[in-house]
Amino acid sequence: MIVLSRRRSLSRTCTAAAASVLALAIPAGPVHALNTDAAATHPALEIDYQPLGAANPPAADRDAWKVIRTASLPGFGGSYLDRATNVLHVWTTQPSRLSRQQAADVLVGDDQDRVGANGRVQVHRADYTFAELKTWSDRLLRKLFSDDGMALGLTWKDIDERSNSIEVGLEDPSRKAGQLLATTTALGIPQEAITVVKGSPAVPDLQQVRRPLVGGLQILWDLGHKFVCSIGFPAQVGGETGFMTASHCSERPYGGSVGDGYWQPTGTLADPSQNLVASKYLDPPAFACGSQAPAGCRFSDTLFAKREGSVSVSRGFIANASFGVPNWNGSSRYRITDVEPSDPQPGEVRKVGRTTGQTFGDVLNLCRDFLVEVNGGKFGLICQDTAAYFSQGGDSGAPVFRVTSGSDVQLVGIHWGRIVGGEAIFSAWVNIEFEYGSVIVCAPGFAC
Amino acid sequence: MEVGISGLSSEFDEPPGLDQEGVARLSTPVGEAAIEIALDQRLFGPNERLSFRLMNRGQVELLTGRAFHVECWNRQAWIVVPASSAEGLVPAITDEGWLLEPGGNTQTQRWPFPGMTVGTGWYRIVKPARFEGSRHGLPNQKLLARARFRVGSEPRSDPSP
Repeated sequence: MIVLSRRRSLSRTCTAAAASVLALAIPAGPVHALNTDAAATHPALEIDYQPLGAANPPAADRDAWKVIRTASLPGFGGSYLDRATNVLHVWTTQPSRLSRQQAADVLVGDDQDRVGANGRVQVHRADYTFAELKTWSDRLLRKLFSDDGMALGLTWKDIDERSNSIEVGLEDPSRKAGQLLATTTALGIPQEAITVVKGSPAVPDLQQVRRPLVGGLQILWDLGHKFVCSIGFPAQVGGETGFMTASHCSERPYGGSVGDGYWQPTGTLADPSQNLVASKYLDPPAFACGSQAPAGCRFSDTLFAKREGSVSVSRGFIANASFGVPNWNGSSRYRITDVEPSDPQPGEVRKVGRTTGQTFGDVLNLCRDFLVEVNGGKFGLICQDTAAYFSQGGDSGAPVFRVTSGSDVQLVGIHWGRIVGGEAIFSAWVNIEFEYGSVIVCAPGFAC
Repeated sequence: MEVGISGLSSEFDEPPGLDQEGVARLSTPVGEAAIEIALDQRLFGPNERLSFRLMNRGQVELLTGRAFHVECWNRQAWIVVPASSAEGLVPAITDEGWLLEPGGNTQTQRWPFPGMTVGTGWYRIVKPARFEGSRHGLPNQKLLARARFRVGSEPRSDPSP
């Protein structure tokens, strides 16, 4: 039994008071502070979600409010102001019933459709009312801004009031427009109401489909809940090829059952085989370590996922992403040529994760113990290290490394969490090696 | 002075900032982003832990994680409650991400952290989420949800918000 060290940090203003002295039994290792997390699993609360198209739409849904505001205009199909000519163009399915004055009375004053003192109004025949376009647009939004949108390479959707249609931007219309129109038809939307354009390409980043797999890429686990983490680093363990990531990036962490799938960058329940890249293969069991961590303890928050089939994996490489954002051109990479053989040394380390991209900061504290609550279980993580780099949700599993020369790096560990309001926490390479034995992580030609 | 819930003092005067709470919204080119914190109750007694979830009330998918903080009202301003307890039990959170579809919500989170107790007064949870616009060639945008609650010196008797 080891009594944990403690630090005093207490504000007496409307806040915390002391708790009990904690103790943790650890089979081996130094004395550290114990830390906690507040997540747990409980029955779902009721959700008072307001569906699209409700009587009182969100204030920011300007199109919905425009439907309401223009309800008195017969057949109103949208409007836009041509700023070059100061002409307000108004669409209607009933041009004989909509007077220009009537349209001006309702629409002038709208910030988007303000007509100056010398402005004019032109009325055009529309095929669809604005309310119809809005209804279809919402229907599409729900469908496309989910997994279907990812598969289509969707970049944009908007009611185009210059063409009385719904404009949909696709990364590659020549290949995906047919699939999109099949989707809209299935939703009961006339194909003629859809205008497909080549959308602005999304910025290339760590959250897109990337092969071969390298460190830092987004992975998704649990298709139902859509949790995301980051690949730590490609590796070979026990003759199997795959990658390491954080153990809590799995349904049953810290030694729970194996077999969970990992998708890169994401997957769909409709087609679970699409983008499935690996499955949980090794996750050393937690050991008993005392009442404060009843679910057990580990020396690293890591697991090894074995690749599926012949998924391409680039051992020894980490994405060299932008600083502070997950942008990545797909080709710039760091090369792992070494591993840190002992406790992390002082100085700067970097991490590359799917949410905050590449960040850096100095190593701060070595070998501290933490208590985390994951899926309702309290686990201890023994002898972990902290650093000053930034991270956010989704960065778990990211590689932590030190640049040694140019694009060559020394692997230091795997990022898994943060002290609340404080520094980042990672599991050091020496702890990982201790738990797994032989792990090959360096680029070909280097001995590690 | 700390008083029971029934003995209202200035400590229990409603602090300002209510307009920052409820549903937090922002407009994006692909639809409205909106989040709200759902508390299991708004009134707590000593040694009780509250449970909460973050709900996606908008039209677009959002990213969040376990990160959140709690502020308390010191009768002049909202100040961040340190996560540390007197025993130095520094809480840690894992850093996975949760992609919340419209209508979705996070797993339940709880506060205070084990090893902490809290004084009486007004508190509020602050939890972020973000619209990841990069998928659509748009900038990322951050949302902050806030929800207040009271901690009294007696076990709760009024469960209503």
